[in-house]
Amino acid sequence: MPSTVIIGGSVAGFSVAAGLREAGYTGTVTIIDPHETALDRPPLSTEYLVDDDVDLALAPPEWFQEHSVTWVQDTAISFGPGTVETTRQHFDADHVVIATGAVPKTLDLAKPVYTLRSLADAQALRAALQPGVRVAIAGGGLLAPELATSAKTLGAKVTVFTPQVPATEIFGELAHSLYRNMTDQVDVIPRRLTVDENLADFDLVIAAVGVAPAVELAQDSGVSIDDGIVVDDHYRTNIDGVYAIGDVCRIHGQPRHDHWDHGRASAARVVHTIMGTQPAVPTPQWVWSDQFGHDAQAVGRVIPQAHEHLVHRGDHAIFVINNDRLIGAAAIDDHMVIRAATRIITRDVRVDPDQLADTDIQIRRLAR
Amino acid sequence: MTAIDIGTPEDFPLEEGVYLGHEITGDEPIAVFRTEEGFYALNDRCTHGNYSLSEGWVEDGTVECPKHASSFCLANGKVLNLPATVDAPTHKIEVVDGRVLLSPGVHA
Repeated sequence: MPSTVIIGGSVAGFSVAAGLREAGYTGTVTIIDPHETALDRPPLSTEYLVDDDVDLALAPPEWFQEHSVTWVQDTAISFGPGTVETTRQHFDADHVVIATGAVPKTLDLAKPVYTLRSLADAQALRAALQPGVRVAIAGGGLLAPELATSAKTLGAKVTVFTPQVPATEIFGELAHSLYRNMTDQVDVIPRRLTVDENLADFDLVIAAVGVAPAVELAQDSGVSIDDGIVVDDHYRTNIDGVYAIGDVCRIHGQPRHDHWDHGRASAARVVHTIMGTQPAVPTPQWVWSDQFGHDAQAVGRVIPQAHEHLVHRGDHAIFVINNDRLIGAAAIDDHMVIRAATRIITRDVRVDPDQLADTDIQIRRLAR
Repeated sequence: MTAIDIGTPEDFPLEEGVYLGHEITGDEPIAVFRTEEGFYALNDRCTHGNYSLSEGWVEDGTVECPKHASSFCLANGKVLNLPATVDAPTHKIEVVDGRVLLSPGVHA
């Protein structure tokens, strides 16, 4: 019987298992992961940190039985063409999918430094973020404002060190209004946190300074590694039958995409590779962030190039257009803009900048 | 359980969701959808997280959660894509003599 072994059971790895079953794959499907079950990690920095009642499981326990997916709570230590080894077991596999994700970078400081990536990280942080605790958060991406929001909610005294307006490459112009929200809510020091900083006023530091692909397992496997496991646009590595998806991989000639939606999208693509079927038109990259009570989302690219135009819809949504084609959109507290933009881009619907800008026109109408 | 009269068909905009809170349903909030094909009712809360399906995108007999884009079949509540993996509970809804009648807790 054909078999697929997936190493890593967060959104990317789990989505391969779910996608294979959805596509009618009749072989065995095994997920190897050190956690108890498949977990969705975006809530770790937000809801989970501040609320006891958050279910992180991607699926209820019975899902695995109903879909004949075997969850092996173990750590993979090596793989090769057709095989995967864990600390206790050996697996034969026609298809090996590496979905080990990424590990957080940290800072070497004379203070306790926390990072946030895994469930254990979130639990440690939750225990540390007591009311009144003075916390310095370092980072210029999405995670720093999210953690600042949670830490403030928990009663910590929060200072964010950021060398830049966070996430401008994702939210474009709107990143500046998110930044203003943050400066209204917590202390923001506009520089990089380095060893030279006087940290006497802080009890602990959270490093939200990026991630590195979790390639340790792959070091001696023979797959090419260069800022992630290098794959082609079918997510195939240089070894037959070995694939890499999500945060751990990098498509040859592109930057690494370490966002949740890429985990899901790359999983969907690798299912087609394994099944030998034709993928649908890919959806544009989608990113969201919950910070200081606002829901920021972006799809596609929202920084215009020279021949493109930026269109504003009120003060909360922007679009980048190239003639009558939509390239990307970002919005704060208006998810309908993102849902509509995703469809407009995927379906290649023509757009009129005046209509996009007109808040009296329902955005839904422009996607049909 | 008796059906609740929730209005006339025209009270419900086409291809949109309407939120009915606990005070109307007596239990879980319910999202009511009207399409060209008819009326549908699902639990309002997405099975993935605390987001309101009544604010979702209605198209081709499905509703897509506004937050993380899981879609559900309006007719039977089946989840169609991740991140949700659990079907949305359905509720019986019908139009009788020009009134929309909802039976919370009775599966469609």
